[in-house]
Amino acid sequence: MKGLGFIFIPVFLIGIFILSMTTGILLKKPFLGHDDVLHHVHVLKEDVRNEQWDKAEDHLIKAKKAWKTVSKRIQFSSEREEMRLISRIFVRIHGFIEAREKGSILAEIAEIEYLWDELGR
Amino acid sequence: MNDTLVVFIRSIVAFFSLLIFTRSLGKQQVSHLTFFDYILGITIGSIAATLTTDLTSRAWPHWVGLFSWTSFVFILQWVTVKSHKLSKYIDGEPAIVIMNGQIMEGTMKKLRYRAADLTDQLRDKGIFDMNEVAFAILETNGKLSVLKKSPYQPVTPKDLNLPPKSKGVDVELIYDGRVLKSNLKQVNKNMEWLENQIRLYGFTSSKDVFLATYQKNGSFYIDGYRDHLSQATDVSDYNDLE
Repeated sequence: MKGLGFIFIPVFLIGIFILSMTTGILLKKPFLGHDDVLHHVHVLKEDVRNEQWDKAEDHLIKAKKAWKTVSKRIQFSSEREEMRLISRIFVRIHGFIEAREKGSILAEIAEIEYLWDELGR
Repeated sequence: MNDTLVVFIRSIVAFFSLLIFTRSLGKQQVSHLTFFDYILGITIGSIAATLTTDLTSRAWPHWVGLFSWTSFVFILQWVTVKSHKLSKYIDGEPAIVIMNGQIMEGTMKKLRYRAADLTDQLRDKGIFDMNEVAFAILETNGKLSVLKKSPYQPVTPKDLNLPPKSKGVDVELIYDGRVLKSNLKQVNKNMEWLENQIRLYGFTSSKDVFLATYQKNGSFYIDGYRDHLSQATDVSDYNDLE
């Protein structure tokens, strides 16, 4: 029994450690409905393409809220710089919406999509 | 995002991973490590430190690095245990640096081992006269093993035809005021005997005793929490440094 615990405890701990470091790719997926970052970003993209700026503002807020929820889940398994960059891009998009700069917003969204794909890998 | 929390969690991961990995590598004394083992230890420690505080990259690649390095050490250990030939190839061989009282300059040159290193290590062994040395072997871990010439070797009971007293291993009977009953049973003694011994040495109970040990040959050692010293020796010279 003692020998079993001697093996089980380290194996269990190592398993937990590996899970905590590698589950970012799963945890970034939506669980609660309102935390689908990519969906909100895609809707935002459509709003910007159609130049519906008020709707774009609303969807940006929703995307930011979703990102706040997801970032808490993936913070132990993702690169800090990538996460900070996504947060900064949302701030920049807010500015571009105010300035009605369609091209810049689409460029920023393209970068978010790329970073999202890389996140947790 | 909370940097402090992430560093704390990563510290737990690194600390316990390192503990588990190093325990799986078995027990090796620092003094027995070769230079390569020492470097391996530093590298593994450095990876663990980076895993903890480098938040610019994910923890996983660092952990894989930690795991890989530990695995390589484990493989190397396994190989050296299984194959004597490979063990010699990897760890090297001990080298004779003094043979029959003569210094082997060629060997020393190959090992990049200076005469100053030799005299230094001989002094460390309590040898201040080179004439006393018959053989000196530089071990793979960098330590020097010395065989003195016969006239300089210490006298043993055998030389004097004296019957040697057999010595066993100290068995702890009281540790930090607590009686170790299983050890008491092991040396075929009982509580009554121990209490008598405690009183004999001027203590009232086991709670006053810091350490008590017993040897197979009947030797009993006891030390209390209170030390009765008329004048304590002070080796510190801190006050004279001002």
